[in-house]
Amino acid sequence: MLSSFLVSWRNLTRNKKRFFFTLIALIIGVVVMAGMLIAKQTTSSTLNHYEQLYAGNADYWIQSNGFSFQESELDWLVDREDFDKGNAALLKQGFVELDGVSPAQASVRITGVASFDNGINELPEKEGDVTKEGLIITENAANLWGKEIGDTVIFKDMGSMEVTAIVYEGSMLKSPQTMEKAAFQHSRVMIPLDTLQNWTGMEDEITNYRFATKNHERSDELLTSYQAELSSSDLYIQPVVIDGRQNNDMEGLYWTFNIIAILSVFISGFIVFNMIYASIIERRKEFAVMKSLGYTNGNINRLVLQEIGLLALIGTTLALPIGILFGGFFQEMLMAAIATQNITYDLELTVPLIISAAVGILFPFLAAAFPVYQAGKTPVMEAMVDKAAQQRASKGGNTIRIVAGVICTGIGLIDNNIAFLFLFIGLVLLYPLFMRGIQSMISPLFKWIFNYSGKQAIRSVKQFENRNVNTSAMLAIGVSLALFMSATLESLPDGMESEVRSTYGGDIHVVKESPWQDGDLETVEAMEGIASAYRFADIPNVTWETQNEEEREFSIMSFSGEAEEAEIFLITAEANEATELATLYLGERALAEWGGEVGDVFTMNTPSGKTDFFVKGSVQTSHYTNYVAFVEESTLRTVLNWTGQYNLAITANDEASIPLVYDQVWETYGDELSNVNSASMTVAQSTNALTGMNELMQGLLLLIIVLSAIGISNTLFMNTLERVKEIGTMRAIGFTKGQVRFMIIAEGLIIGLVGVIVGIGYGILVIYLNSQSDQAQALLSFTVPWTSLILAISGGLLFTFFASWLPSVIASSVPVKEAISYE
Amino acid sequence: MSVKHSLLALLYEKPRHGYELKTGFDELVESMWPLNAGQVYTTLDRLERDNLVESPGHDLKDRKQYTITKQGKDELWNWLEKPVGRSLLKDEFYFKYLCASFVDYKDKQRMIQVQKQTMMKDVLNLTQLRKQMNQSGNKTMKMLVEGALLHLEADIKWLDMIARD
Amino acid sequence: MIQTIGLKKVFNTGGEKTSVLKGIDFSVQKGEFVAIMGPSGSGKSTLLQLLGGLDVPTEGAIKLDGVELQKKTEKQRTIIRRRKIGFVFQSYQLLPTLSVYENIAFPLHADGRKVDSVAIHELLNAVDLKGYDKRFPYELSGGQQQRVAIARALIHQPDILLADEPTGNLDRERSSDILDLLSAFHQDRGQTIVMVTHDLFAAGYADRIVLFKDGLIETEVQREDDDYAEFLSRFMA
Ligand SMILES: Nc1ncnc2c1ncn2[C@@H]1O[C@H](COP(=O)(O)OP(=O)(O)O)[C@@H](O)[C@H]1O
Ligand SMILES: [Mg+2]
Repeated sequence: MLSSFLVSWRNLTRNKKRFFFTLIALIIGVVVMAGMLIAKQTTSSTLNHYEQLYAGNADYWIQSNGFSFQESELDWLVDREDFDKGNAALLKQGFVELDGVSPAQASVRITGVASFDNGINELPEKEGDVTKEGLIITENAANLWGKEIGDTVIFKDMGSMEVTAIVYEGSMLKSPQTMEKAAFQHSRVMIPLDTLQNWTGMEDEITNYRFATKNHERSDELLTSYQAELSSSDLYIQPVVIDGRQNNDMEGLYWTFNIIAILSVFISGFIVFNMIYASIIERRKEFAVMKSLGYTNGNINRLVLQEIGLLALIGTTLALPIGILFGGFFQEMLMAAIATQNITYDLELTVPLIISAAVGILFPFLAAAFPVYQAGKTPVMEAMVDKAAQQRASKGGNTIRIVAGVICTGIGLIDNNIAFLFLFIGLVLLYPLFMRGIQSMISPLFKWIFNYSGKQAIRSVKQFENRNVNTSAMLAIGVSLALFMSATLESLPDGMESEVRSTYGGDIHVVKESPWQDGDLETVEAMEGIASAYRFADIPNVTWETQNEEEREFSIMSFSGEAEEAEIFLITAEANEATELATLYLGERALAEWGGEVGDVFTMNTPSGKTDFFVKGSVQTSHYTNYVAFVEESTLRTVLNWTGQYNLAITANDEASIPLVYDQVWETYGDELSNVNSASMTVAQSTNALTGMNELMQGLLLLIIVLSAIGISNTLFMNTLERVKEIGTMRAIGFTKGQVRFMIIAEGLIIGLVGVIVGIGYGILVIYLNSQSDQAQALLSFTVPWTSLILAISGGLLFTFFASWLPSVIASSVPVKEAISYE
Repeated sequence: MSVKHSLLALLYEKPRHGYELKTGFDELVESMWPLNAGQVYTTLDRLERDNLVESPGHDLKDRKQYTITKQGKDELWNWLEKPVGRSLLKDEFYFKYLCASFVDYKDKQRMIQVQKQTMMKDVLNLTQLRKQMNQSGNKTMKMLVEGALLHLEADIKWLDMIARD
Repeated sequence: MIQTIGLKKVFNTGGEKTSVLKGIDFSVQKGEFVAIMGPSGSGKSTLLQLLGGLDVPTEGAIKLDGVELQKKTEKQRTIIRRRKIGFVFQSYQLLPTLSVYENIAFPLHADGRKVDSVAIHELLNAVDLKGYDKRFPYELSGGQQQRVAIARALIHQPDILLADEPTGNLDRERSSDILDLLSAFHQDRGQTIVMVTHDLFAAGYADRIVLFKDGLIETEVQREDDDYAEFLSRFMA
């Protein structure tokens, strides 16, 4: 056994350069894949972890539909058998004493908690002791305020307290990074509950109560019995559900990661295929001899497969550690791009590494399947007499390929996500046609630039047509995806701005700790620069289950009057049936996540307990990444047991008066405001996040182009290797080294140029199709991403040039003497 | 060998007198086979006696003309038709080798070497001749040279073989 | 025309030095047909490659029309080669993707010269391959391929034709064709030829034969020499 592996090793490394290239290709494929998977897994588990931290170890929590309630109202709960432990919290707005800052910048949201160490709340400790009663602030707040452990922080009109712990940013406590950001976001800190109650005179008042059940039991029966206890009160209970979907929409990002992982494995699989194919063709004679000596096809397959297994094993083993490094690096970049705060995370390695290892081991076998099959098929005699391996291009096969290509392209034009895939299959199938067409167009140019070397290059591109076509197609797919993605990202902000504005509702949203009363509304409307204002509700922490029985949580917003005229969403589909049930509209993402249809019945745990709703329609909105529901105002009290409207949408006279409105609102309600937001800020935030993404995407796309370039390099290398004798002859009868180099570079550039041209063509086609698509039209307009276009052209050609360089050097240093004397 | 048949062949082409037959012969063999006039005349006499040639008379310069007879033509065809066998011991060197072995000749190796040298010399000379034939365009002769060279190649190989023995 | 002075060549293979040429003084006059003979591994090909500028000597000089090849850069040597030297190899070395015509035109293209199609067809006639211009190498027999190679080596009217065992892969009959062809070019056009061979039959075509042994010239014989055949046969035997 050992010696048979030794033989495999000898066969593998027979051609050192080729072995090295194959290994590199394999490693890069696995590294990129591992990196993407690690980034995806880590990001999702980090987000999850932060949500989890917020939820702590609680199973259920009780809130009131008012701002706060008496803790004594929960006496029944503590006596129940199933109760384990709980923690009460009170949330209050306040201001930190700081010099030279506006009230908005100094605003803090103080959470008073009853117990610091009973395990219901967990905080990511940085310094100090989070279990000690005192003031806990976050890293950002400490920097912003210049405080350290032991320093005293004064809360205006309340009191002061010593910092006992500093924690990392998280869902429970987080603070803005800079003073600019502080104008729109408050810092959140934690102090003991009784202190806060004392400071604010809210004895025994709490905002919510989180608790754990014995053995963390959670069941429908339990929930129903709790709901029964609370049915006649203002209080309601919700299971603690970890669901960050309202805050971020990562699916698109994950999709991109997947695409890149697949593409990289694909490209590297193709490179490996090239190598194995070349090596098997080279050894045809050898196999024929073995067969003549009694080896069966099976024996030969086993021989080759063992070599491939060894290659895959070595490659994957080397790739995984590098993959971890790359994943770590990429994760850092990703976090820098998407996170608004310092986030600590641990790389998620297990699953990504297992998947990468499995793929790394398996895909070389897939890549080898065809060549191995070919090898087995070789007639013994033909290989033995070593007829010049003329590639007989079967005309029949070509026609089938073209017909299939046209059909796939036709399917690809259908407005459907999966149909898109066919467009690219069509691209690959039709590629020889494109290659020949474009080549005949650009060949005068190449002959002019590279002279006779150019002419020879065009010829040798034809000589290894299959391989060159595949390589170029790879690049074309990379380039078109690159263009498509950056067009998407480029046109998204425009679409987003109008989308946000069209469904934001007014210009400014203000959230207060207590409901807006009629008097407040009058006060606000009387303010300078305000055109109008209206109230709405935003009921948080509404839980429900998807049709796959996963627990989910989102919020319900209210609108008044006709749904068609609502300012905060646009209806995209609506049911005609009439119903007895209360109705709601679901954001499109919520609908998709749920898995039901418009016209179905949707059940949620609301402040009034388990409630059924008729899904009247699906909507698009700029709120909560479309992961939200909307109900008519009248439903609030009657069906949802929700009395107050804490949100106010203000429309300013004009853009210029917005700051003025801001100041007045802060002036009047500063100590009660829990949140102020504006359409402009939402637009800015989303666009900012997109810009970061754009750069990240461009980086990734560059990576794809680099990978394709390695593919080109590899292909040229193979082409060269198979022509050593020819190149030697050319050198002997008059080609200078320079001419040989030119020839190889020209070959590379033909492959690259065709790839870039077809890639751009398909990229623009895809952008166009997408802009015409009913599904995405709202967001995407037809824009040609000029920057990326130029980047693709110059990057494609530049990388191709570099990719051709090494093979060209290798080709030009083919030792003439050996080449011409080898048989 | 067969001067007789070559004369028949020359007469088959056209009637000639004795001297013409001599020059015709020289031309045919590219002067590589010295043949004297006496030989020509004695052969002619024999041919006339056997009724293979006949003389229609003398030309203006009083030289005796010869033509080929019907019998002569038959004889020529018969000769061309008959295959030539190869006798093992007709080659003189074979015979020498046989006898040398028989008497346990001490210098057998040298004998072989000298023979080889002679043959190589022949190769070089024949190669030059071939070059000349190329230029003069005598295709038939060139073929003969080619044949001889092939024989020599085989002979030299054989010499190497027995030298190793 | 071409002259070597004290030519030495040492190869370094894995730290081990093999001295292949040990001081060769050798020259070829214009219009000569020289054969180089010697046992396998005696350095004949190496010498030919040095003469053609495919490699440089370790020591010594090669003068081609007074130009010292070993002092030129690789590129200069290539340019000299494609103007003044024609190469024919044992294994033909036709470019498989080029047609017969394109193979023959290659040296002209490489040098950026105008391709004279009349000249190519004339040469094709001369090598007895009329009408084969559009064929590809794999459609030709070995002898035909070698004739194309000869045409290719001569298309740019090189001063000197270097042939390394041009008949090595051919049977006696095809060899004779090739040799006839070479000697015809020599006799009719005064083509200077240096041919490496270990075949006496081939060497017989040359005016002069240089005998090689262990990297040194053992002896030279001129056709005019009285003992030409004598000497040669003794050497070979
Ligand atoms: N590039 C090289 N590196 C090392 N040794 C070489 C190289 N080229 C030729 N040789 C050696 O030089 C010797 C002469 O080779 P060569 O000139 O091809 O001989 P010939 O043509 O007379 O048979 C051989 O022993 C060969 O192994
Ligand atoms: Mg040699």
